[in-house]
Amino acid sequence: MTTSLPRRHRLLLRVYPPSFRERYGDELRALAEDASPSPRMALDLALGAARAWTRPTFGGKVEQRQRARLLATILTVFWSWSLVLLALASFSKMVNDPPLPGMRAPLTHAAFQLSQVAFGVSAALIGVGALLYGAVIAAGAWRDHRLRTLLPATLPVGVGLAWLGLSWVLSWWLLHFALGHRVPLPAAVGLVVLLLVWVLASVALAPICWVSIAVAMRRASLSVRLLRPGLIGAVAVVASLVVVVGAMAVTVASLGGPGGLPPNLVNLLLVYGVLPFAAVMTGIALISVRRGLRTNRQIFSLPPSPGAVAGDSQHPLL
Amino acid sequence: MKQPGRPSWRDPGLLVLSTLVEGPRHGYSIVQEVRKQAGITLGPGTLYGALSRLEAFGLVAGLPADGRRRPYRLTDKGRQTLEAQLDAMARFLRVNGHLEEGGLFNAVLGTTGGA
Repeated sequence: MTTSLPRRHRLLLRVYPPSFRERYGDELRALAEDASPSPRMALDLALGAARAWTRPTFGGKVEQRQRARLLATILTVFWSWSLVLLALASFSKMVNDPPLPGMRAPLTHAAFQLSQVAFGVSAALIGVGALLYGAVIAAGAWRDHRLRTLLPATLPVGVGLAWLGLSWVLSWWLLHFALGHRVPLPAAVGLVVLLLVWVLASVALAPICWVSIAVAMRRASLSVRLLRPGLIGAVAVVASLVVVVGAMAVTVASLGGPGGLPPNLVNLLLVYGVLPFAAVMTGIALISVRRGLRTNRQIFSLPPSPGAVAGDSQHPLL
Repeated sequence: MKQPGRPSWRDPGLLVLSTLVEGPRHGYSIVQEVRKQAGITLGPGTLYGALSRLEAFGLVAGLPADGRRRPYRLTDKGRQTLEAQLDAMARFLRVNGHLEEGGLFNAVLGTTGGA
């Protein structure tokens, strides 16, 4: 018996990863409609979606699966890198702007500088990768008359420009206030609304960038040959992130002595909170790179490692 | 709790493979057969999670879709894996004495009237 799905179930079907929806979406929906929708089914779909995101497997033809895996690794490393960027920026502001007394110690200073340099290396790699892939995608879209594939990539540019415009208007208004000019009530209300829009745009900018870059890269259908250099770049970025997190840890540890961290809770949470956050993000990137490398090894058809069960250590029945 | 390497009767992958032994089935048919065989109702998320893993490992293969339903068939590798898994389970039961006369397994089968 086919029934129409409740809104909650339809929403849960939409939160599955795009590659999963592309391959199994219609079948999954048909089965959910054939069975009776219930809260238990909603929970099952939610857990299934969570698993599909955290432990992705890619069905379809071999080439399609390899492409999806390599692309997932490159995007995961990019997202993790951008979150480590936020963590490192907060960390640097906290310990070095102005510098805490403990920052003058040679070890602390060296560790902090190392975290900055290592992150700079990773940023340069990301920048070069973004330029190269941008050029490849744009050239391919131009050659094949598929300029529509570039549309998602223009979204962050539009939102970024709007954000800059809003920032300029807000700065002008705030300067107006600071100079002691009288502002009529409707203008003050408008200012508050603008401020709210600016905050929302600031929060949304990063996710919009992540999603639109992912959509543009998926639509470009880059071949395995083109994605492999990205995987090598991702390995180098993750290696840099490991150095960043290690250097941050040494900085925090060497700051912990007398004259180091100011003993208030917010400072402690900021400094010690961003470190585990950066470590978790780097760990996620590391796991994703490992899976990408395993796929890369399969592309070259190297013999499986000794003792592998049924051709793979991640056997679905074990 | 599931332990790596220990066979489990409730593993969705194993249940799905066992329903495909007699021939290709689509999602709804697999759910019905699992319910008939094991008394377990697989949710759509669990079923397609298992199917995606089995397909990625080459244990099942999708056939051309019939509307929104796609039948899946067991591959040779899938058949070998299922046999190996069932052998491991039988060994587990034998080692623990559940297949011997008076063993737990036979006692349960006797109670339920099974073979």
